[in-house]
Amino acid sequence: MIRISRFIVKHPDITINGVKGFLKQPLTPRMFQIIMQYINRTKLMKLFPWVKTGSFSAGFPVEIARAFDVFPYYPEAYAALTGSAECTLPSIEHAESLGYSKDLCSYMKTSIGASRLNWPEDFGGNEPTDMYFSANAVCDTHMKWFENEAKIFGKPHFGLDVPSFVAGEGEERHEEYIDYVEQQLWDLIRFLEKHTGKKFNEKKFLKIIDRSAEGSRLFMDLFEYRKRFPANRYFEWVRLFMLPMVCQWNENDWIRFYKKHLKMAQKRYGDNKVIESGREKYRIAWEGITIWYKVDLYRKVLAERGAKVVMESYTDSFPLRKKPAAPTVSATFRQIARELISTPPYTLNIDARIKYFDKLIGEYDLDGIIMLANQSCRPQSTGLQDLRDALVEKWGIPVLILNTDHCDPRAYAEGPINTRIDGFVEMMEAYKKRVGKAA
Amino acid sequence: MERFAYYDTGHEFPEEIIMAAGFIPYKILGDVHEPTDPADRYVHNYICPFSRSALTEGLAHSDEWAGIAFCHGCDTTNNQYDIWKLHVKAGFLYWINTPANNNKTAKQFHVRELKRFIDHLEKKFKVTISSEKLSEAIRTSNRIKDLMRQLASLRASKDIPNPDYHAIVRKSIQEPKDDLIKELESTLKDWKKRPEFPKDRVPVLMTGSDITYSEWMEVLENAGLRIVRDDMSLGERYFAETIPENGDPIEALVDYNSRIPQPPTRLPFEARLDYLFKCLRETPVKGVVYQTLKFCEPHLLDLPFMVDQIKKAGYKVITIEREYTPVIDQQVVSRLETFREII
Repeated sequence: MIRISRFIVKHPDITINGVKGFLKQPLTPRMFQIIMQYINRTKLMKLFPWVKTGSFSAGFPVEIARAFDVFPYYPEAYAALTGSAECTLPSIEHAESLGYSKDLCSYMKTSIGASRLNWPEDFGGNEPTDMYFSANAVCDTHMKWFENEAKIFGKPHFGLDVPSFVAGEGEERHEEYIDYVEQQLWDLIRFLEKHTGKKFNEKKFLKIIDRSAEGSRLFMDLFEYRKRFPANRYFEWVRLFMLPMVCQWNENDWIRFYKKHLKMAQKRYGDNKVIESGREKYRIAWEGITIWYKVDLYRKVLAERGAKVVMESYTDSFPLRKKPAAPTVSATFRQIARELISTPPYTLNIDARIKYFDKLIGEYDLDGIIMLANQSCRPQSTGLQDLRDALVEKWGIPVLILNTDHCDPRAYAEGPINTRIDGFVEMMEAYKKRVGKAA
Repeated sequence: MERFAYYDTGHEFPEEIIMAAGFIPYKILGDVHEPTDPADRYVHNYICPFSRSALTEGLAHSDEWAGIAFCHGCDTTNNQYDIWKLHVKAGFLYWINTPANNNKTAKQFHVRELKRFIDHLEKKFKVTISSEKLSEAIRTSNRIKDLMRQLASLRASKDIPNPDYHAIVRKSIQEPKDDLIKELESTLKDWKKRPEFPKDRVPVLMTGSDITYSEWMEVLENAGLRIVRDDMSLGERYFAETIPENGDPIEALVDYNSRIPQPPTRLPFEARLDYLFKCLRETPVKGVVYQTLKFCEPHLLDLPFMVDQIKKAGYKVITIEREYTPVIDQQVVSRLETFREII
């Protein structure tokens, strides 16, 4: 409370902008409450000397650390929230003043800048934690960012090395990679035992995994309703809705919350594919991280032209956890390894990426795809052209490659982007006529 | 003997396996003088220009190579492998998932990866890569590393211009090894006869992204800075350590890989910093040039912490983010000249 009060007094302008930014989001009071509960708990936990805290990169199998009562902190999630509050620029610029290049990940710079400015988590800061955990499944940045932070603050770091399952590889190699990741997860147990002074509690771990899998399942069940006409929810909602699952806080709360939304969806649709108000004019998929600071792109620019994002690989990358084949730690570790190597759309090789979108186009009845060529997320941007070419060749579906950045508003050029979206909408209209979809 | 090309953003590729298979290992270094338009068709222009240059080379020259292998280094390797697979004509394109960690688990995995690579080479090219052939290749490699160490050590005492050192390092990873040994021996004789270290040159240590073209070495030369130590893959990382000649050769290669000065893509961090400070202790330098290639994320990510550590140790350091171009940028020269004045 002291830090946020100080922040408000010192930065009334940023605070007001942040509130305005949040008000633009399609947040329900309950969702806002859940987010604030987590933020407040992160602040509270650091006050308890007996609580071990850990900073995690997105996608790291946090359940293992949670079995040791390590409380999770997610610098990327704080950066994302700061992005949605449209307040990332000061912290990004501060990180750059410290030597972090303009070309580096804007999540990372938002977090580092805000942390060094001693900003609270509400505005992207992340105070040092007892341990740091990261994996290179998605990018080098995850690994290096957390390793650097751990080094700077003199804390232990666990780096999970996830092999890249490149195009053309077969099941045999996949299994070898799974062996390697499983072995590292056992190493992680030893790391946690050493740094928490606790013994690994298998039962507790399996229970946490069960709940995590339950949350993922509910989230994916809700995705089913996005296939209906009109979709149950759109990107601007889902990107916030996924946060409790990403950050793995108080799962009983978010499982209840997700269940409630599932019930609402079931009530709305029943068994119907189409409800009274009918299909969106243009149903599109989004490839890449969301543009956090520009909710108007989704709620106004696209929506006013009749286009709604009904599916996105970003939010689909997080509900990873599935129930393992057997309720044993080894089987669960192998399941986690499999999920890390070859499940999230973010880690897919080009062959798998094409298949993934092939499936989405049919299942979600898409009229177009927007691919974010993200200036500070090079791994995600690589291969977009080949992905686009393959989809256009097979389906003729319009694909717009949009160049900007997910958290750095300096990379967003409103005029040219809107012009390109106008052209994209025209292409979708022509595509719909060509394939005989009703106008 | 045919060349076998490899794309490796650090120094992880086991050249010795290729030598034992009867090929000439050839590290793909791109060509800064060639426009990267062919690669830019597939890769965005805000992604590492060196990687685009390497892809351009692959698109133009792959038919001259028996095969191509990638090692997992920075994100460009795993991300762009698929693009190579789609667009570069290669009879054999292989991915070695070099581990990012440097612990027991990672080493066991690395052994398995190398054995798998050997297995694939043997099947594809109908060759036998025996332990004896591997051991022989290791001895050849060690001879080269030994000669390179001797050559590199002369930088601090003799008049060895930066481009001369750069040229010999480049040859060491692209030329046939037997010819190379002869050339290195003759160069060593020549360098030993060179005049003493010139008084108008200031000795510095160079770190950061690999420099793949000699023009940037000339930039430093023009500014009066002479590189006497470095920790780069296209440099000391290649020859700082010797491969064990006893025991299982695959285990020896993995052991060697774990001991070399580490690139920024490998954990833990300390390994890189330790080697850098070892260089600084061993060789008196006046300052450190920390240059990074535009969009080279691993080095850019390390830069603030590394620079801080170097400064804390009492060394003067200049950081430069350079474009991928052979054009000698006079603004960079001016900055380096100013740095020279300061140190």
